[in-house]
Amino acid sequence: MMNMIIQAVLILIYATFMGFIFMGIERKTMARIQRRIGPPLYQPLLDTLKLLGKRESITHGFIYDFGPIFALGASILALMFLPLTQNFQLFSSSGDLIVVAYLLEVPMLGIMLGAMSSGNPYSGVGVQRGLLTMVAMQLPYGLALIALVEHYGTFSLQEIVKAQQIAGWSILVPALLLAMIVFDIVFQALLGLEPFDITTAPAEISMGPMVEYGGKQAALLFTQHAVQLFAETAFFVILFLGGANNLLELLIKQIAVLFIAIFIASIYPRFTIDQAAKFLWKWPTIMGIIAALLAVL
Amino acid sequence: MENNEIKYELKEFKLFEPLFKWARKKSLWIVAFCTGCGGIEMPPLATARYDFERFGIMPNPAPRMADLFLITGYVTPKTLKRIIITYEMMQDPKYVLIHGSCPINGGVYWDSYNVVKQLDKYIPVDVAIAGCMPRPESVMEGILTIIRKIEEGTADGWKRYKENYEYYRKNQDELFGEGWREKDAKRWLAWL
Amino acid sequence: MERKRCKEVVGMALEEKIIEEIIQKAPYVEGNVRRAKRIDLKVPADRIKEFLELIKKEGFNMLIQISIVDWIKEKEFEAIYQMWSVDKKVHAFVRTRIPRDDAKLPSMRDIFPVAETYEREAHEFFGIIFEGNPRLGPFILEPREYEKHPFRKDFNMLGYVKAVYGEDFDRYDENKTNYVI
Repeated sequence: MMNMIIQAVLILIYATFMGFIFMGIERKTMARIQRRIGPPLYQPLLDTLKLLGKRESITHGFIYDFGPIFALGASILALMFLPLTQNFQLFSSSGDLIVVAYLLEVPMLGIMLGAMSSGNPYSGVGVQRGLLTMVAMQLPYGLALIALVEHYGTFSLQEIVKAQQIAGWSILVPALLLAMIVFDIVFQALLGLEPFDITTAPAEISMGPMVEYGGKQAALLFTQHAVQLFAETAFFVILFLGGANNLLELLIKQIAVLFIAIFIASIYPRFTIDQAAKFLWKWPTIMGIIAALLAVL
Repeated sequence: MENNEIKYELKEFKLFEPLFKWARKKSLWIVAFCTGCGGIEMPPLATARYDFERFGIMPNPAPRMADLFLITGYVTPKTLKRIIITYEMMQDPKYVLIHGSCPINGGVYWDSYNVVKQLDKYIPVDVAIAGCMPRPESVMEGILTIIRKIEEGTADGWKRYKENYEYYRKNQDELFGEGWREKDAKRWLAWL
Repeated sequence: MERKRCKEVVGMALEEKIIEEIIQKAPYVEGNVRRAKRIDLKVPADRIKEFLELIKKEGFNMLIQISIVDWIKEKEFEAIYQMWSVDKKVHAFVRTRIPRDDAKLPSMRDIFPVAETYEREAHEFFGIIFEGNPRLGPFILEPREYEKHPFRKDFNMLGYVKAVYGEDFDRYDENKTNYVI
């Protein structure tokens, strides 16, 4: 029991730190693509420390404070269910694919809860758009996961990793290659990057749901974003790129996934919300259906 | 400082004060509010030639999360109402940097009926940059001066606002008439 | 060079033809050609509205600006309506004179809907009342400055500034702010 608590705390510290470094890599890469020198890699840590050091504190009630805590809790719990290396998984059950896939969606609901109780109309618009993005994204997301489950025949993440160690990475199978492309498109929406950036559209609706958050609650939101980034890239690596034998290999694969996401994000402008919904229900859905049918056959 | 003067600072964080000072000077976030004619001098700072993101500075549209306010250029009474509301929405500690000679003493518009002559009577100012519009190199020098003042601990515009609130409030009410917050600000921002 | 001169000569013929047609239809107008593509028309104050309806049918269907000049020695305001004809590509400046005290003009809002904004500005800065415009009121300036009409030539600018913003506006105090050059 004591062992488990120490391991959980160590994973959490490692994931938060690496999540901040990933956010720093994102800003630095975007700056280098635009031919500038960006901020140093540890910049999001300084941002969070500065936000924690604000002297004044504004609150709009209990739900406003509770929203970021709810979101952070869901991200941490999703992290605990992932098999980070081949033999190591903190909590495990036989259906943990579904548990992790849907625990990675809950933080958005938590932020929406907090943002709606602040009374700012920009938050309201941002929340509407965020919920519609979530609804639009579920269909291709579910189809990609169905293709994966049909191929491996199990819902347990540990067995998926073991099967990939024997038979090679998932993407060598054609059905799962299509599923990976669909999942990569949905991945941009999960991370909040362009072209599905419409929830937090800076300079259009002033940061969307986060417009009334300042100081210590904003520091909590940043930490939640860091943990979520780590958990989502690790999820992608586990499902499609074969898991990892040790933490270094996991890190290299995560950074590769992150670079693909950043390169797509730096070229494309933003979809509006109706264009995003129409796009996500047309081509990714068709490719997902083909992938699921191919996996069954 | 004695204990009975600092009523608004949380005393238990004083242990980490050097760490917070270091973090504050390395990541200043600007409120994206471009008044007057100097609003065109902010994009050259953000693009590739005089990149200010390597100092950690980022423009952020939400005033609740920002701590540096750039007032670039002349200020009319209409804009001044909105500047005061935005300044009070920002959270302590906050810094104000003014560009150009118009907010200092009126500048080119010294005899105009519609331009505020001395901005220092209505909003506390930390660093002023002279020029008509100052070039990006001068603005960088001004930002480095603010960073140096944060290190030394003399960037105290927010403390002056809290301590001399009656003085600032008297000047603001003389200019706009009594009760302007209730009438105007509640009309624009119903959630304040 | 020759081509440009040729064009000027030919161009002048177009403007003079336009003026002749207008004078035939409205004999109370005086017109002259200032240069290529600019004609000047002077109209007495009580026939301005029917003249603008007439000129709209002539092809000048775009109102660009209404500006006011304050002739303080002659005690008159002069209102200038700047029209543009999209087909013929000619500006027409229509001028009227109205007395300075108790200045009134009919509103052109039903012929040219864009005139509403210019009339609001002219009312706020000069004090001319446009009959028929329902939105005259505080527009650009603050409500405190609303009945002061700042663009008139007998407005005491320095006195107003000293009263509102304080006496010491042309001296700066070096102790108050930190300078960076």
